Amino acid sequence: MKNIITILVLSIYTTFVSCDSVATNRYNFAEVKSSSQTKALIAKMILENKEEDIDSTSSYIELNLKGMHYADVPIKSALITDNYTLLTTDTVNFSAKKLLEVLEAEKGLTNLNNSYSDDVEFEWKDEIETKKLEVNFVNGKHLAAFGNKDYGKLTITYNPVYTIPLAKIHSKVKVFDAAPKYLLYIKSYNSVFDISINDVRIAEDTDSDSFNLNNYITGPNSTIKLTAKTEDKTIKKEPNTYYRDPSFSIEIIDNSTKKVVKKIEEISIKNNIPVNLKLDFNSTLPYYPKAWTNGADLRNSKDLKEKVIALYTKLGNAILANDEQAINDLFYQKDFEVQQLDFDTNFETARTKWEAYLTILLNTYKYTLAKDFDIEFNAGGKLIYTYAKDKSDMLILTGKNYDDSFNHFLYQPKGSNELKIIR
Amino acid sequence: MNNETNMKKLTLLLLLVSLFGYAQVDYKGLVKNIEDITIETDIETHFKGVPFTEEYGEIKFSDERFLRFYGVFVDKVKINTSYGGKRITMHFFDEISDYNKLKTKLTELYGNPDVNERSSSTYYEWKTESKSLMLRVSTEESLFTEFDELVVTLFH
Repeated sequence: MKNIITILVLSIYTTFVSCDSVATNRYNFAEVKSSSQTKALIAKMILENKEEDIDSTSSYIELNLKGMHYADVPIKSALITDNYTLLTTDTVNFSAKKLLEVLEAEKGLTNLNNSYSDDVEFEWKDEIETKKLEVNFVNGKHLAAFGNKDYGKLTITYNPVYTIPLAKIHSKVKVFDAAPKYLLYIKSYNSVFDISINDVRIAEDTDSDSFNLNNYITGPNSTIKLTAKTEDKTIKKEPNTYYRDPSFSIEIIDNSTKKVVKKIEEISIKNNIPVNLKLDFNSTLPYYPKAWTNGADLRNSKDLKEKVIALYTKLGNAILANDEQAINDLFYQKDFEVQQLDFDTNFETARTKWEAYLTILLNTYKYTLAKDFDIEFNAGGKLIYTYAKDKSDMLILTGKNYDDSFNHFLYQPKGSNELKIIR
Repeated sequence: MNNETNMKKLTLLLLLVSLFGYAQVDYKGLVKNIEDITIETDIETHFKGVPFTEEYGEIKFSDERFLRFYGVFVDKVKINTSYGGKRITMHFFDEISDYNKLKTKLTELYGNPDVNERSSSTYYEWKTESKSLMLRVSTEESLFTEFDELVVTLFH
């Protein structure tokens, strides 16, 4: 018992001794969590080290001050720019090992990347910041045999903070143990397809080989209708030449488990007569979206064209007015449902999309609307898609060296008089 | 008696202070012995806690701090599971001592290997009913130059 106490007292003494060294460790970069906090730390360092004559006038600042550290790992030099902070440890005392362990305690383990040299890189990314550690071996062999002279270079960049819900969808996405992702796979030779799922037309004359189905599933029972046609009718049976009939086979798979849910073996298209297929399958999604399920039947809606124009006008005006809240309101339900149906909790998905919307807002100075268009009714009239006839798309955005266009599936919630973007 | 109770309390207190002083990753607890993998082993469970990447159904681990094969550091390991069985491909740190150690160990466990010497490489193969182990080294005039890989195939 006495021995145990002696060891514990000694270890606590060591802790106190290292705490004492913290007193000289005045500038802790691990506590900095934003660009403004970085600036505050720089100001403190300049104020407390007037004799060092630090040049703070240029766009970057180089510091070699005593007392700089990252969670008690001494930092030999710091390069701070408007975009990033680069911290380099000294080539003593296993600093690379210590810095890696401190970062792993803070952020968790992550995959390593081998760079072209013998160095090893780690990266931790979250909503607030990206930290990249480069481990440089001097006398160490590898991560399991660090040398005392191996050093680390830590690059920290802070991400912009967005408060708009459309940029933070991941925080609302529910996580489930089983999260199927249904895909339709087609293997084909000289065939094209018209495909609809649950009475929503998702492709026409396509020769693509895979389709995401989750976005068009609103309940456990689904039906896929497919028409297979010959792609190139000039390929004909001729004497002394190889010929085979156009053909295709189909699989519905759950991409999360790679399990085949439904399979149709090879079918041939004879004499160019299109083949029609109907496939029923049961999905077991842990989340079914509202989507257009509470939508009104629009088939007899008299002012539907005006409503379509009104919606795209609203979107065009929101873009020209840089109205971020209006963009959020127009796209949130669609983007949320799509990300939830992909069971995607990565913070970058919605952030990247939001930054694309911001780029659109920044660049667009004009929009053009299609006024003449055909309306296609899907899902028993609850969902519509429009085909512009007088323009190349429904909404065309123009900017300097830039153009973009929009066309979406629309529905009208029951009790509302306005259309909404849903896919 | 009273003194002993106080000692116990003090010990507990000191123990708690030392334990909660600094939360760290349990590196030792994460070390995985690749030789323990059998055909039944669930790979993700076996390597729980160790970061991995997955591409085309192949799982890859590359953090040498956590990978051992009979005590030898493994640089990278790729694991492929198919209907035929499991294929475990290991790369080492190209040390002649690693190669010697593994050749000795495998010979001790499975007897003398089949040796296939070619112009610039040598293959050593050990086979049992349930697995095969193929060790490949590059050679120059029959002398070791590089430790290429060790492939363990586990059969159903």
